[in-house]
Amino acid sequence: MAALLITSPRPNTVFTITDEPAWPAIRFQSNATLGAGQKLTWDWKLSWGTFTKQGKEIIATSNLWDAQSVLFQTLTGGVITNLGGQLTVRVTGPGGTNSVTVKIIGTNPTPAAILAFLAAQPDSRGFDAILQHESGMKHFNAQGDPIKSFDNGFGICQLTSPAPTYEQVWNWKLNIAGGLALFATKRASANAYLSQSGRAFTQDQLIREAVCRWNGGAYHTWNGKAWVRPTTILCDSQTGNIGWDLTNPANTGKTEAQLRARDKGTYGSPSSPHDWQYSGVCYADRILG
Amino acid sequence: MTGNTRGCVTPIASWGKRVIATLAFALLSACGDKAAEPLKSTSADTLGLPTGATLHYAVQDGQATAALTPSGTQLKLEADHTIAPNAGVRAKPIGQLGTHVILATDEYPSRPGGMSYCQAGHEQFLRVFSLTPQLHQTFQTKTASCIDNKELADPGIVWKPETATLEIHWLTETKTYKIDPNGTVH
Repeated sequence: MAALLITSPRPNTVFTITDEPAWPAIRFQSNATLGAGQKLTWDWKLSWGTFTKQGKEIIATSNLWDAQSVLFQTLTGGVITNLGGQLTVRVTGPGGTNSVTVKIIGTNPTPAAILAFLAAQPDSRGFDAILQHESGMKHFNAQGDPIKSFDNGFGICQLTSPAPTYEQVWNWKLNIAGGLALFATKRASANAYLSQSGRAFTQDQLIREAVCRWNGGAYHTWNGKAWVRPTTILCDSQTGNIGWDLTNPANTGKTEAQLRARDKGTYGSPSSPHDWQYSGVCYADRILG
Repeated sequence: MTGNTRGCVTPIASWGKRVIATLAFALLSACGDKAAEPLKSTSADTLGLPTGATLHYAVQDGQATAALTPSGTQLKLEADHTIAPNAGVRAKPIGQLGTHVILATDEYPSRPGGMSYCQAGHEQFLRVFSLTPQLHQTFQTKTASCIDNKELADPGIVWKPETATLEIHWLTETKTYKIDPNGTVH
């Protein structure tokens, strides 16, 4: 009996997920010829970093057909769809055991495709601006692996907490859905805040409030008649979200230029004493104009 | 209001004047005062107490502590995973009952996520301490969180010393607590 081999694909073959994303058909072929009652066991393990998924399938012959020159194991179609990384498949049967490892990488969607996908999602207004500002509209790096930040943020939305699933790390649409779910909590908070005591607000105010809360804190204050932007926050227009509380005596009466000249040297060391602050108000102003 | 929770504070005879270090604890003079508290970056914070003692807050390696001086009693404060590593802390007095029950908030920067998520956010806890027989905590609740989407409505936290009543005004409801002279919260 010939030694059992996986004849296709070759080791280290690279399969590419399209920008749709659509997963490649990955079909493992062995040289096995099985007699009645014989079987092949296919084990597969897909891993990327700390993410792992594995499974097993047993294929047996039946009395209706007792031999076949080649036997296949196909791992797409819901098995590894939405996943990527290093895929190792091992086949075990009458002729022994053999394994092959291949790689699955991703393709970045175009920014237009990302925005079109977002536009089709409910209540995504505002999150599109955050995504454009923060992500660079990339999900994969030059090697086709999902972007990973130093603090374990994954993919286009840099999902960190709650920890993303393997699927959210590799499927950019699922990743965006995860980010959008987080944004939805901010939008809900914004809605509850703005509507307290039966107060009226506009859709633009709701979006601004939600974007501000994404970064932290409330945007609007109630002046007794309407929701307004606080006049006590002055932003450094050359940064993403740095500003000054003008009720702080150290800042009162000073211009943006004066405060920036005084403080910009400390922007890089936020744990040292300073009189500037990260401000969701400035963040929303920066992102939404 | 996440990161900007107001405490509606009844003035305290001597406490508010005993704020230590460089902190500007602007005790609000009346309920509904909209004045924002100046933000300072601090790695520790200290409250002067009516007894003349001080309550010193600090964070190290993600563990928040409160220490009473001169007694030296140190209390580990239960925070959670939402506070930033190497976070600073900002403490704020809310009220007192007698001279040995203290209400105060402690606030920390949020642990930021990707895409600037909660980079400007804060996590705030309201605690009740009893100073006798030694410093211990009798109550805590999280009153603001960017990560957990918790926030208060106007007027926020209201302490009524005449009835020993604590009101916490959430966006969806108001919770009222009575505090015993020994610090027990009902």
